[in-house]
Amino acid sequence: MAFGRPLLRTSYEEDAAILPTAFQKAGVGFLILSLCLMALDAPIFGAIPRYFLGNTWLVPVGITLCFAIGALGINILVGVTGQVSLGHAFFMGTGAYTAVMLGGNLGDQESWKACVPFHDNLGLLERQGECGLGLPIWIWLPAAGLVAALIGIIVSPAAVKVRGLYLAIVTVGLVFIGLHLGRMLPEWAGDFESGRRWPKLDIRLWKEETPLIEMSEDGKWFGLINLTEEQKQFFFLLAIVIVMTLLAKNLVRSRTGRALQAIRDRDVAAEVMGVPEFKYKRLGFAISSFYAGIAGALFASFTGRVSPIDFGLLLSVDFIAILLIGGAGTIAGTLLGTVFVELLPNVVERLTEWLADQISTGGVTGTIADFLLTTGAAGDFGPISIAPTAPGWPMSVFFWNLVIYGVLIVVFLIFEPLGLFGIWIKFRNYWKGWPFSY
Amino acid sequence: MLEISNLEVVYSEVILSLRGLSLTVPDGEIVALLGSNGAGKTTTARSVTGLLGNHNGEVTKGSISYNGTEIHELDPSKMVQMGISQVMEGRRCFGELTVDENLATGAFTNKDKANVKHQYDKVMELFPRLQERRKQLAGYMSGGEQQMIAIGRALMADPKFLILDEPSLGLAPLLVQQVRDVIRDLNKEGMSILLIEQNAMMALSIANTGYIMESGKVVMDGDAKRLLADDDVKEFYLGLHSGEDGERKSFKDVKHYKRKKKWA
Amino acid sequence: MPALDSVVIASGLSTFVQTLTKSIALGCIYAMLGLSFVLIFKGTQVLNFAAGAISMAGALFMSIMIADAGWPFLPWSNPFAPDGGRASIPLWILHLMFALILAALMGMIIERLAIRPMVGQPLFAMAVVTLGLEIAIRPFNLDASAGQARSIGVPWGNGTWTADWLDGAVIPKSYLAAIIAASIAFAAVYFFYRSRFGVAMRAVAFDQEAAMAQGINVGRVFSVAWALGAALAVLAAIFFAMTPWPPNGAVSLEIHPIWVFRVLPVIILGGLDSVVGAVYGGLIIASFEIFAGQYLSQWTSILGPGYSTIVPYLAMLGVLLVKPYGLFGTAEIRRV
Ligand SMILES: Nc1ncnc2c1ncn2[C@@H]1O[C@H](COP(=O)(O)OP(=O)(O)O)[C@@H](O)[C@H]1O
Ligand SMILES: [Mg+2]
Repeated sequence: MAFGRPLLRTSYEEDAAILPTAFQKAGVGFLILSLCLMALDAPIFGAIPRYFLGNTWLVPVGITLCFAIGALGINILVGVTGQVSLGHAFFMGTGAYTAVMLGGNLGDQESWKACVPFHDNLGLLERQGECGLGLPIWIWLPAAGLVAALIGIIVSPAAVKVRGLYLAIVTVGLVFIGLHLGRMLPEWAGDFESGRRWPKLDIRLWKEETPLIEMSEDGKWFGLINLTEEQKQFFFLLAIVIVMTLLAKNLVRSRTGRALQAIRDRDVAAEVMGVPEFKYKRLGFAISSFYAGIAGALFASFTGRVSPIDFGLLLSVDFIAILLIGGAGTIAGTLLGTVFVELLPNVVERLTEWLADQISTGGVTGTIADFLLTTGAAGDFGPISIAPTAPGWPMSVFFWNLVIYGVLIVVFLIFEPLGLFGIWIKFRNYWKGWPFSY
Repeated sequence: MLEISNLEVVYSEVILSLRGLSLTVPDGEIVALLGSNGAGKTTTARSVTGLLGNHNGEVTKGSISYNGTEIHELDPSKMVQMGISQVMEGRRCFGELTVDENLATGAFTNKDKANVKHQYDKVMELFPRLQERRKQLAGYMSGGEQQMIAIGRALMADPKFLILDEPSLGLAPLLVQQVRDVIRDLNKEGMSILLIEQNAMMALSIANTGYIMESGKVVMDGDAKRLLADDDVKEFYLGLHSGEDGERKSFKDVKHYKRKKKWA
Repeated sequence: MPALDSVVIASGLSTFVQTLTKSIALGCIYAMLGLSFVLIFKGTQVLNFAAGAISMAGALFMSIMIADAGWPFLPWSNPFAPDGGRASIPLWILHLMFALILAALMGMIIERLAIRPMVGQPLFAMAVVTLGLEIAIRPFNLDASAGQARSIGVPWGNGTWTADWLDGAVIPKSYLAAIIAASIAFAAVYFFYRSRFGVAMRAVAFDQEAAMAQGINVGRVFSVAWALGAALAVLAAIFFAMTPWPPNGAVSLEIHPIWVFRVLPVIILGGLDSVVGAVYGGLIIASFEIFAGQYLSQWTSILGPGYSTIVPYLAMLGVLLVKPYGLFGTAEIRRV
């Protein structure tokens, strides 16, 4: 690296490196380390997430990690390949249900029978939603990704033929077809509303009783360190996220990645340049679906119980929002967006709790809090209701979170189309050039 | 009278397209604005009619006044109401609309029903070809017919001042003649015209005054007859070699020449 | 989701007539909603994913005015409200007009705040803005309906009309009402399209800059497109909140927030930018849905309850494989 010009890259290797600068290497290292310290509840570090997200913060963060994988996938499709899909939820569902059918219901000779669709005639109706072969995670997790990728390849001819908004609409159709399949096949999905249980994240060699790596109970890990269930799962998920991020980063800088980007930038022109459009679009679909499948399987497994409804259109919209808010096309932006979108509701909830506590203290914050909140007492007003059951105006925090989420999508698109990542770049460039404005 | 003075226009906050352009169109005259591709002619037209905003462009310096009113910050519909209409480069007919509907869009700001009728009859008189095709979709018509629609559409607002941006672009010589005659007739009726052209011969043959621009500013101006006779103009815009035998120079030579050309 | 099968089955002929009427009625409702999409898309190049929230909000306005005898957002009571929530037809139509006007206002406000600043952005970015709007408006709808199905006080209630000469086919009055309302709406759109302003709107749709150069006020066109689009969406929602339609003839939480997505196949089939296409698309998709719901019902145990609601998507996928831009759409919409 040339001395004195920190961003002057003197070779292609440097330009294509995963983390080009020493500063970035150190930054990412520090980030991962501090995440681990937070999870281990180290002094100071442990207090930070506790403060913003409450004591059970590992649960939303675990879900965020699962979503990060899905977001990496949609980034490959939308951000890198430029194919706008609202069907991500469908592929997540595909992964999740592959996982549960392969890994669900450990050790039962008869359990395959419960997988036969329309089996009322087999007299197994009471076993609805119990289908599963009880296979270990090293089978069901990759399989979840692969099956989703396969379905992605199967539907890609329809998706490749249509472009732009039409593609977005077609993929919406996919989500609704998926939902209906969930309704059609209670053997696989369980009850449409309440869903079914998922296999745990425990790592087994085969179907043995005690897992190789325990993931679903509190206790000592490897006889070394005492961890809670959530902590174990956090580390496991974090490791997977790191691996998947590296894979995604590698993809973007490979030949394939450049071909995908060429398609995004102008598909007809890409074809003229010798990038076979169909092949690469299909590949984009397959890879993104693979990520979605893995994410869906982990998400369902981490949550423990999901229903087909969880894989509705709103889930797809979540991912589009993640891309928009984070900044489409960049991996850092994608991860940033995931954290923001998934954790913001928790932060808002915490904030409301905090405000509720302030009411009784009086003073300026107390007055503001009183204006904002309605406790349910007679004559109280304020747009946010914290009364236990209160249909109608004022609205609950849950609803307000949705409103904030929707408004954020709009505001980001209008004012900062490059998302959080764009804000960061502006900020960085400002300081890099400081005190010179250009 | 339209007066542009010292106009500077920037696109996307970085691309400087006009740098100190000044130009005057006196009432009742035809002024030709000539220049090669990318010289900034269309940008000049956009600045006058308020369409810069559409292209993320902005007037950063200078002024444009029409009959004494400063106009560069008005929006396009105001301009049309003030009597300035534009025939855009590349015709830009509404392909999914019929000829009649295309003309109707031109009359959008014209609230005087009788006047609309009068203008419509006038357009039909100028371009009898349109009369037969009133109900046809503009998208399926020939380039010449589309140019007629574009001019007719601009006339529907009953403008006092007309800007035409390369009306001869892509037309057969006979049609160019016809367009030229129409412009002359309109001018005879008292309309002031800013005629933007690459076809210098056509433009200067009917204009009173001509301006030649290059890289965003005027490099030469004067009486149209005089420009038409000028050797440099002949050479660069009419493609005629002023030398011994008047034969056409090869493209390469012109290019070469162009690099060292310098006007005051 | 309950299947659309509340008509009484009598004989072959009457079943057919009933199914056909139901298809046409649903087709008209889909077509009104489809038209809402097309008007907004043609006028402003926005695929309006917020139509679900907008239409439900409008239907709730109606419900608040009639059933609660109030005004949306305002503390005063509504002096025109019918006693007991069941209005006479003229009074009901008066309230329908109120609701449509409010819907139009809502459309204009949305356009002004969220769409106008996005002009010139890629089509997809604009579509996602409307997804954001859908998410932001939806909680207000859920909140206003307080978790209950809300009545809009239909004057004819669940009344039916029996055609003895058609083998005793029983036809709910709501179907006829939907067909009449849609016919009026289509005629209005047809004449609007030929009006001075309609021509201006089509010009804007075709070439925004050229339209501006003619002195057409593009902002106003945008406003009007959204006003009309929102009103049409609400009109469709109101006629879908009547008795024979599931679940029980009311503005419902189960149906209204998502039913708009069932119309996407309609506009795909008809083409995003084709007015005629929306009408044909609505009728075709609805007949697929209703006829499949009626005549394949013995397979329900395999096809799953409510299978008819995904028939439109299957039809859509089929059509797109053959004609990627729908039956009536133009291929140029590629500026993503
Ligand atoms: N929308 C635009 N954005 C950025 N630059 C533009 C735009 N339109 C024109 N330009 C630039 O401004 C200059 C003048 O263009 P233009 O006015 O179209 O030239 P002319 O009409 O004389 O051919 C050109 O260099 C062109 O690249
Ligand atoms: Mg030009």
